[in-house]
Amino acid sequence: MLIKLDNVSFGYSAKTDVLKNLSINVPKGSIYGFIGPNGAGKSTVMQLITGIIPYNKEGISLFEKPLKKQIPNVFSKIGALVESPALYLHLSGIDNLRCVTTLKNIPETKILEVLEIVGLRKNGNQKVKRYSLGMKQRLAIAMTLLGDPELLLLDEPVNGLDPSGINDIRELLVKLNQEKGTTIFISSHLLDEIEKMCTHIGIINKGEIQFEGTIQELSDRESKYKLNITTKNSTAKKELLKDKYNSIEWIKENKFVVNLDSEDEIPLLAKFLVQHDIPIYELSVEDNLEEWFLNLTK
Amino acid sequence: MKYFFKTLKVEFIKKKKSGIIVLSIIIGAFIPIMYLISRMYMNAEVDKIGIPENLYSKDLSNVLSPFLGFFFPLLIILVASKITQIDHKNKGWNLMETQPTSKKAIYFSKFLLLLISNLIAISTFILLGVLLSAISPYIIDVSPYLVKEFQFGIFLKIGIKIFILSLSISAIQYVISVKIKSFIWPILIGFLMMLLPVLLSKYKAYLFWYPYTMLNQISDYPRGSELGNFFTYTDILSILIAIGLLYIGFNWYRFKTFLTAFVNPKIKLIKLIVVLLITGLLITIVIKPKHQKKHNKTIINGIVETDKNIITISIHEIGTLDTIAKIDVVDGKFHHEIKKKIIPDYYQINFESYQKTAVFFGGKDSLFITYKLFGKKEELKITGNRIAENKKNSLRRFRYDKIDSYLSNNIDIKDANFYMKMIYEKWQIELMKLKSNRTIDNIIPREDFINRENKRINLKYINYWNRYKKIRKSLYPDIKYVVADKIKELNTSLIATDISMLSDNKYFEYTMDELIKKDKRELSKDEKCFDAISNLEKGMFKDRLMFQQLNKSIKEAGNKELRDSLNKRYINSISKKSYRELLLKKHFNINRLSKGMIAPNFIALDKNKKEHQLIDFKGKVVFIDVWATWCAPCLYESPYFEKQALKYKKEEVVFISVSSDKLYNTWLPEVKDKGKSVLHLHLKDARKFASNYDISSIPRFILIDKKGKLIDVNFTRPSNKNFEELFEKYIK
Repeated sequence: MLIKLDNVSFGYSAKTDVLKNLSINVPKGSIYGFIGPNGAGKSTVMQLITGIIPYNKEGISLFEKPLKKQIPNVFSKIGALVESPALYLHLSGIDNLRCVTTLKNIPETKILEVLEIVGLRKNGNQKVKRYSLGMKQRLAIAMTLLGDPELLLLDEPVNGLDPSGINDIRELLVKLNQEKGTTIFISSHLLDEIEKMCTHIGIINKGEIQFEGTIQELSDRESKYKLNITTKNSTAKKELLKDKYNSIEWIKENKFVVNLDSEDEIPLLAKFLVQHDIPIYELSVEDNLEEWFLNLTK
Repeated sequence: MKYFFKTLKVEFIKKKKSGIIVLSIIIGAFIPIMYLISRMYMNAEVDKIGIPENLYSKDLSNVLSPFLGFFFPLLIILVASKITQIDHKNKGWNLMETQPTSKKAIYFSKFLLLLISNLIAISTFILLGVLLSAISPYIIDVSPYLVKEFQFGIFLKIGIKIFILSLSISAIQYVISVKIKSFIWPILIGFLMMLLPVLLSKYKAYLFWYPYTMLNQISDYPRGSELGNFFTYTDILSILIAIGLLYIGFNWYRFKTFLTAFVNPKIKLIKLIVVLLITGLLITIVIKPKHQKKHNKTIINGIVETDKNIITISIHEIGTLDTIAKIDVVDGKFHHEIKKKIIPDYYQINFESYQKTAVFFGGKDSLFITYKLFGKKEELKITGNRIAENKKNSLRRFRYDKIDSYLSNNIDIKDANFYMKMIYEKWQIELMKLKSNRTIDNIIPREDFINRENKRINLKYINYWNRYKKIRKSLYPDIKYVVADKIKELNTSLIATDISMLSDNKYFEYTMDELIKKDKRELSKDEKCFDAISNLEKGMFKDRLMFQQLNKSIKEAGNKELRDSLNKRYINSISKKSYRELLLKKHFNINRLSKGMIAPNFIALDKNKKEHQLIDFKGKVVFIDVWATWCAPCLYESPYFEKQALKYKKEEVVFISVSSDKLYNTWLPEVKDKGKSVLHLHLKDARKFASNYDISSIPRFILIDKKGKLIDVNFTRPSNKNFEELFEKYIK
């Protein structure tokens, strides 16, 4: 495991624990989505992993070694973006990047490379103050990319980006993961924002892990499939449908919902409708992960 | 270390465009430039003659106080806030802490940046100051007597000392600025701390260990230690305070909260306590005041630098003016060993008639006295092993005195408790203040001086109480009041037979009052005093009292017969021969110069080198003003003297102004352009004139009648409101 938290409890004061017996396992080469609503403890976990908040006890290890003993050298292998965006607004983009290259002992030629990657090549000499929110976000990511890190820790990196911006970042991260094998630990309060690119998911609420596993395990966890079907003039067939699918529920005159047990039943349902002359105007599988997530984190 | 340099490099990238360097240069340059500009526009006339100081040092000492008292601390406060804001505002701390560098490097490289800004300001201040001093003679009038040699070492030393003393202030401001994220609070706190000594001075508290006070102290002691040490206790104290604060500040930053930094786990608490104890102990050792040790002989030595001719220095007992030593000045230096037993007390040192000053010393003390007199400017400094005792005590300067003003205006006299409380409190405060006074080398006065000063303070407040009682008795004779224990404590704090106090004239009066307190006979106070003194046991104390009493009575006596009879009756009850001789001499001089005696003749030159004698003016009333070009109070009287001369122009009076200046040529330019109403003369033999007329201080006004006989050798000054009334009695 590249990141391992083993039964970590933490509180800012003695009485209340922000994190309760938290365990997280991030395998090497994964894109790990760390999801939870605001105030669930995501930032605290991020700060503990980066040692910004000192954790005196055992329980946190990076690269299979206890974190405590590796600070600060371990950061030459890590690109971290905590509480985004941490940028010096009075400096130019290049100067911001120069701060990192100096601390990581990286040649300054790398600066242009990462600017190119995030598409800010033309804005390198501009003061960051003049950047748009999206540009700032991308510069912050560029800073984490310096020095080809083995691990990226990104705290809400797509916060405030427009959909196309989010997409760009997603593509960039997936590319990094696939080409260089970079492990990415990424936190967000919106599941659908990052779900699509993650290989692993951890869900946190009120300081406790609600779920941890691969994206496949996540999908398997909720076995039922919910289908929305829109039809016309099918009142007469209601009884027939009811007999075949117990779970049917009419929402409107011409619209009903059916719960299926497996993916394979979807074409069977379509076949059944066609055979019985029930017209299909629309058939959609409802994304129930989001609903499940909302339930989990209520 | 490997983290430190790269982190410092990053700090330099980050400080770009923040204006820190420019601000440091501006603040460093501001005061020297303002100083030069103000002198350009004020166009002040410069003195032609004065103490030959170093031009650069003099200019620097003039600008140190505003720089150290306000502008430099201001810079530290602003820059500390500014450099921490770079990271507070942009969440840069998190960024820095997730890079391969240690927190120690992050914290201290930033602190170093603050110190670099301090260094830039200090160097700008000193280098620009020197540069402007160097070009100032080409722009403005500069006193010609200033030495224009540049001594690099002095400036380097001042720069280093300012830097060291800025460490503690920088540490305070830095620790606060890192911990408090807001921009404005650290600045407000900084301002408050900067102004604290000013606020507290109202309550008469002087915090000698306070970083801002210590920094500003450099302007009082630009030369640093008076013992010749490079470092003084303030330097070491500043470093210790900085180390202690940075230890706390860094750990607080490293572990985020105070609890995790110093309380959990317990080992950290123990560590904190150990560090605090060690720094606390070191600080206690450093601020513990020191006494100067005694010498094996009683030595008075020193140097005299002057454009006058001072060839002897004399030391006198105060009160009797009995001579303890007469020391020759050879090549501007003097050295003397006093073999007699010396009671620790104030003694009067006379630099001929130019300066008289009270200096504290006792047996087995070695004093080094530096006296400088050029033109009208003088400077006196006492070192040796009585530095603290003879330090000019700023606290003794004249201040509004509440008790005195209340008593003078008869405010609330009825309220005895109020007065008792006020007198007791002020008494205690003054006693306390006496002990808080220390020199730059952390030296406090020795026990004997403290005791002596204690008695002086006791006496001052006893006198207040006695004054109050007297007023009270006359205003409310019938209303009783209970004397509080505190006042009884005050009243018993002084004994009436303390020989070391007799140099204090007020103590003499106090003792006399105590001695005759029970004497209810219908006699004059003087008679009672003589009786009381006669009944005392033979010895030094009696001699001193008798001397002072007799001296006073002879001076006050209106005629020769009374003087002679007083002398005859009492002089033999004084056992000390030198006292008797002194009194006889005084008696003789008073008689010799009393009204009706022939005025001693003198010879003097006028502006055209023509000789004049006193006897030439027979037939006219002669009014003489004795003065000198270096004597400021004389110059104050001159216009009045001239005014009277004009007024009585038509009368049979000659107004003569005789100068006792050593050189004709120093005198001539001063009187060249004066009118004819006053005859200006330069004495041919000023020493003889002074001894003939028993002149120990000037200005002095002498009135002589038409027959050449004395009217008064010490006539009232022309500036006196009643002068004309008195004067006219004698000229008609």
